[in-house]
Amino acid sequence: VKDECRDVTAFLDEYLERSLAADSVRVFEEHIAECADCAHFLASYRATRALAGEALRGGPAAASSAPAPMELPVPERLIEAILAARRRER
Amino acid sequence: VSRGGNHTRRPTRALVDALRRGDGAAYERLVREHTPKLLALARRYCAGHGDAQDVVQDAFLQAFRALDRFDGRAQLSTWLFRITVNCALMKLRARSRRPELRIEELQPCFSPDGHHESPIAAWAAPEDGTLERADLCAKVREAIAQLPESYRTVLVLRDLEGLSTLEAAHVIGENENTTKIRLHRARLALRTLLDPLLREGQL
Repeated sequence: VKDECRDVTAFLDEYLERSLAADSVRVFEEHIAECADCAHFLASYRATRALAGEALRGGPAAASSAPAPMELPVPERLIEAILAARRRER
Repeated sequence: VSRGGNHTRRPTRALVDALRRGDGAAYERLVREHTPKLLALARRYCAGHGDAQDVVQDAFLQAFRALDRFDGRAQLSTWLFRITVNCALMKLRARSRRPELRIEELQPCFSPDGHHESPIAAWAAPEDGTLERADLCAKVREAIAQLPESYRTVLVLRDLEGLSTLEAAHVIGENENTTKIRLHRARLALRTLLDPLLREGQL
């Protein structure tokens, strides 16, 4: 890792997954300590990873007082429609 | 989404064999067993509009067509979940009428000396459990839906299913290094798309 923003950005995943060698971690962290842009970038990149997981899982789990979607019934006609569509496709 | 152990493999194999033979009872079993969870997921993606049932139906039909390519490495439930997420993202993109974006245009820019070209702002994300957080998650899904498919897929495999880079590489049929680079570029692009929403002072 070179002591510049471009290189630090390229190794963000390795840094967060702790797969960087110790001397690279040192260069990385020294750069972050001195460079506000890269410190902000690291924090926002970490937040992006977390938000992507939360959003893809259908989150947030319980944001409002509305009933959880899980509790809504499954319409029988949806199941019938899927099976009928398959029979038409064969 | 759990990836089960060996004890669940054999029934999956028998069910997949029956599906490939066109066994109607097997199809009914599959659809009845998995629809509740998939519909709950689709409803979260499609909150506020009535597309969730269409998403689940699209997902099942895609899965039926792709059964020959199901390799048994993933659980059937995981595989169906992944297809449903993709169908839901496509529905979101169609609804928002936004085009697929080019990944190159969403990468961070550096000056010739290797420094960030423009100042990077701190982010302030809304707290868990707030309506703002729910709104943000919906916007994150819309942003992911705008990524090119190969990038979107890697994000889903890593950040939704929690596969390792090597496992994700097997699913998409690329080598580990390509997959790693693709994931990083996908996350950088998503960060660029979220930046205007999350810069401190925007909320």
